[in-house]
Amino acid sequence: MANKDFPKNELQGTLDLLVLKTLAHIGSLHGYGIVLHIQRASEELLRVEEGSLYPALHRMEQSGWIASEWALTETNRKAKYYKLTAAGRRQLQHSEESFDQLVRGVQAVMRFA
Amino acid sequence: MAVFRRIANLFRRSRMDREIDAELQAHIALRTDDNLAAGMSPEEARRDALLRFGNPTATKERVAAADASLAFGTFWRNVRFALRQLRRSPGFAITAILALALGIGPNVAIFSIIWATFLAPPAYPHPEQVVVVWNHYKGEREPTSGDDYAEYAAQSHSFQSLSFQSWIVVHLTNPDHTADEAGGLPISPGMDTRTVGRPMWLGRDFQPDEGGPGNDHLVILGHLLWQQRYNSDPNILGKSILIEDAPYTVVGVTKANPRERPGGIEFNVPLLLTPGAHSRHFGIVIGRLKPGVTLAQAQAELSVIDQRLWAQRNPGSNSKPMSLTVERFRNDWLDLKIQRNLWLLLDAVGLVLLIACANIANLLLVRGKSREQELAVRSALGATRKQIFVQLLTESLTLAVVGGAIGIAMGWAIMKLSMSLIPALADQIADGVVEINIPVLCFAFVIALLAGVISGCAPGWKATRINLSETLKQGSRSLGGRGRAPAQSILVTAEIALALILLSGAGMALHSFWNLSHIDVGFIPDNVLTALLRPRNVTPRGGMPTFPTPQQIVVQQHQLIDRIRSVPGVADAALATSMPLHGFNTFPFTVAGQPVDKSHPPEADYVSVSPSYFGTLGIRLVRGRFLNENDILGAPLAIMVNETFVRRYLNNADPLTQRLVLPRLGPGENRDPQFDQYQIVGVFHDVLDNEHLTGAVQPEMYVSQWQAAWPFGGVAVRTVGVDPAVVTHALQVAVSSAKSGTAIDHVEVMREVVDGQRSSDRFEMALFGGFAAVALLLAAVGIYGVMSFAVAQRSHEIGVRMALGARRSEVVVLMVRGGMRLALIGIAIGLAGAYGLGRLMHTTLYGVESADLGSLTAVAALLLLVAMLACWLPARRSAAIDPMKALRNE
Repeated sequence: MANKDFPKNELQGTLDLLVLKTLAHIGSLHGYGIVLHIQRASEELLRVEEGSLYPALHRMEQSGWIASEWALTETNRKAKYYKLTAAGRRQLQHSEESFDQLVRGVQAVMRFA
Repeated sequence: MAVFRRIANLFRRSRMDREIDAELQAHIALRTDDNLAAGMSPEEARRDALLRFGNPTATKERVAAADASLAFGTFWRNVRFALRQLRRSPGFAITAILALALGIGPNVAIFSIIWATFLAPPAYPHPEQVVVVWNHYKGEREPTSGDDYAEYAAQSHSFQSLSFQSWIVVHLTNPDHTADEAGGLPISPGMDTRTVGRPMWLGRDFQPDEGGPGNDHLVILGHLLWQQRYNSDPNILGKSILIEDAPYTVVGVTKANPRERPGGIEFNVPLLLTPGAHSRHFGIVIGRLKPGVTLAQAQAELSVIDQRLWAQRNPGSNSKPMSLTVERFRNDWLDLKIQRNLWLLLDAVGLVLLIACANIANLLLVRGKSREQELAVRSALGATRKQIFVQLLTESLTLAVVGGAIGIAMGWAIMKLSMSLIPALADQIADGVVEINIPVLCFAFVIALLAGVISGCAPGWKATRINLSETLKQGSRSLGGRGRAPAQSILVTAEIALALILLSGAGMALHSFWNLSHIDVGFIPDNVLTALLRPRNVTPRGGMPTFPTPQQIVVQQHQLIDRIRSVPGVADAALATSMPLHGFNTFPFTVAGQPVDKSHPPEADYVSVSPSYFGTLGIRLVRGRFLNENDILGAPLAIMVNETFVRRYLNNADPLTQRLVLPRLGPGENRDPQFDQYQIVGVFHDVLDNEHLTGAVQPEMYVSQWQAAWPFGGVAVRTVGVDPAVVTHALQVAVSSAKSGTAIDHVEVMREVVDGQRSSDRFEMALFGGFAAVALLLAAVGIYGVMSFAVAQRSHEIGVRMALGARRSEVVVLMVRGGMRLALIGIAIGLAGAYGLGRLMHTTLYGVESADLGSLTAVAALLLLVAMLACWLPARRSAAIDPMKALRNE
C-alpha cells in the first residue's frame, strides 16, 4: 500500500534515506561526519540543514534503525557515533526501492511529450 | 523496545538534556576545528560554525521532542481526549459502560468468594506443614484412639509437634447445676500455639505437663465464648468456671479466628496422653511437620508405627484393616461440591465477561465507522498507524476503567446478595472474611484492563486500515454495499454461542435442583426437631461408668418421653439411637435359615426406636405393622426392615415369615456373645439415613427400644402450632429433669437439615441462572445493535428494493432472515460448547446427564425467541423507511 513505506513528509523521507545510506557506507559516524559525507558524495549538490539532522537522527534511533554510542574522534573530542542496526538495513532497502520508484515515475512524466 | 525506551527517557530528562546539549556542542566544535584547520581565525571559525548550525536551542527542543514523542504526556492527552469523546456521545458511553460493569461485576463477586475460601493464606505460619492424620476404614474416615496418638507422639520423628483433639465433649455447667449447651473438647498441650501456631489472645497455652490426673482442671476459652458469655472480661485469667459441675481455672483465651469451622467447640481443657495408659479418648491427630519432611514420608513412617502397634495388640492376625493417611490441614470442611461449584461459576462469569467484551467491540466498531472521517483527517495530518491504534486502545481502556469501577460496586452488591441467599455457604466461609480486599481489587483491575484491550483490539486494528483517499473523498457515507462487516457478524455469533453455553449451564443446574427438591426422604421433616442426648461426662480420669439394667433404662426412657410430651407445643416425641440423615451404624445379622456367605457377611443399619418414632417422623408402612407398645421385654422380639433390606436380603420370600438372628448387645462388656431371634413384623418405606440426600439408601432394621434398650442416642420431637426451634430450651429443661445430668446437643430442625442439603444446589442454580440471564441480555443487546446498524447501512438498498416493488413485510423478513442466520450458527456452535459444559458439571448435578436434552432444547428455544425479537424490532424500522428519502440520500 502506498501509505506503508513512504512517510508523509517526502523530504523527511529523503533525509532518512541519505543518512541510512551514509551509515551503510561508512559504518560508524557522528552527525557532523554525516553532513560532510553527504555534501561530498553529492558533489556539493546537497547541503543538509543541520537543524533538522539531529531531530531526524534521534527519531531514527527511537524507531530502532540506528544505534548510538559515545566515542572519541581523532582530535580527541567526545562525539556521539551512530551505526546501522539490522532493522535499519531493512528500512534502507525499502526506502531505496520506494525512492527509485518515485524517481522513475517523475522521470516518466517529465519525458512524456 | 522503542516504547520502553521513550518511557524511560521521560524519567531521565535532565540527563537527556545534557546529553543532547553535548552532542550538538560537539558538532559545532568539530566544524570549528575544521575551520581552524582551513585557516580561519578562532572567532571566525566559531561564528561560521554557529551560523551554519542554526539555532541550537530550537534544535535541542526538536531533538528532545523526537526522543519523547511517545511518552506518558501523550498518554494523558489520549485519555483526556477519550473522556471528551465519551461525554459527547452519552448513549454509547452509558451502553458500553453498563455492558462492562455487567461483565466485570459478577467476576469480582465470584472471585472474592473464591479468594476467601481457598486462596487466602490461613492465619498461621507455614500452613503447608500443618497436617491431619486420618484412619480409613471401608472408605470412611475414622477417628484415632488416644493410645495410638500417644504411641505416634513417642515413636515418630517426622513432627515438630503432634497434638490430639479428643471428640468426647464436655459441657459448661450453669450455676443451677444443669448442663449448658456450650461444649468443649480436651486437647493435648501445645495444640494451639505449637502445632497450629496461633498465638494466644490472653494468657497461655497448656503446659506439657498439664492434663494429667490432678492437674487438669484448667481451661482455655474460645474468643467468641469469652466475648459473648464473659463480656470480654480482661481479668478472666485465674477465674474459675464450672465444667461438668467441677471448677476449672481459666488460663488463656484464644485469638479471634473467623475461619474456625463452626461446630460449637467453644473452649478446651487439657489432656495428657502417655503411651501405655489405656485412655478411652478418641479423636483427631493434628501435627506440624518438621521442615523438609514431606506428607508422604510422614505417612509412611506413621503407617509403619501403626502396623507395629496393631501387630503387638493382635498377635497372629493379618495387617490392620484400616489404612492411615496424612493430609494437609486445609479448609477441608468446605463441601467438595461447593468447591467445584465455585470454580464452575468462575468459568461462567468469565464467559459473561467475554460476551460483554464482544458487545463493546461491536459498539466500538460501529462507532469506528462513524468516525472514519475524523480518523482519516488525523492520519493525513501525520498520525502514524501506531498512534491511531494506541489512541483507540486508550479510549477503550478508559471505558474499561470506568466500567470496572462500577463493576466493582456491582460485584460487591452481588456478593452480599449471594451470601445472604445461602446461609450455609456463609457458615462455611464465616462471614466478615468475604469482602473486597486488595487481591480482589487487583483482580478487578486486571480483568478491566483485559476487557479494554480485548474489546479495543478489533476496532483499533480496523481503524488503522482506513483507505485514506477513499474516505477523504466527498462521501461522508462509509463504504456501502453489504453494510455488515464480517467482524461484527463473527462477534455476534460468538456472543450467541457463549450465551447458549451459559443458559445450558443454568438449565442443568435448575434441572438438578428440581430433581433434588423431589427426592423422597421417606419421612415428613416439617415441624420436627431432633437433638442428641449427651449424658453428663465422667471427668476425664478414666474408669468405666456403671450401666443401669435394661429394665431401668426402659423406665427412664418412658419417663423421658412423657416429660418431653408435656412440654407445650410438643405433639409427639420419640427416642432412637440415630436420626434420619445422620449417617448409619452397620450391624451384622443373619437370616434364619439362610446360609451365610463368610466373605460378605450381611450387614444392615441398626436403629433402636421407641414406637412413637413412626408417628413423630411420619414414616410410612408398606407391609405388616409398626412396632408398638406391646413389643416389650418378655414379648416375642420384633423387628422391622425397610424395602431396600427386603430387596437386598429377602429376595424371594415373604418378609413377614422371616426371622433375623442378631448378636445380643447391650451396654457393658460382652465376652460371650449371645444371639437373639427377631421376627419381622413389618416393612417400612425407605428412610434416607445417609448424610447426603443423594446417598444410596442402606438396608435398615428397626427394633423397639422397649426390647433393646439403649440409653444413648437422640430424641425427635414433633411440634404443632409453634416453630420447632422455639421449644429447644423447654426440651433441655425437660430432659435434664427427667434424666439428671443429661444435656441435649446438636439441636437441629429437620426441615432445615433437608433444605440445607440442597443449599449448594440452590446456590449453583441461583447464580448460574443470574449469570445466564445477564448473558442473555447482553447477547440480545448485541444482536439488536448489529441489526440496527445493518438497517441503517442498508437503508439505501432497502429504498431501492421498495421502489422496485418489494412490500414492507418482505423487506422486514429479509432483514430478519439475515440476523437469524447468525443466531442459528451461534446456537449450533453453542450446543457443542454446552455439551462440553455438561460433562464438566456432571459430577455436581443430580439426576441429570451430561447431555440433558430437555434443558438444552428449552434454552435453545428461549435463545432463538429472544434473538428473533432482537432482530425483528429494528427490522421493523426498515419497513418504515420512505423509499424516496432513502434514494435521495445518494
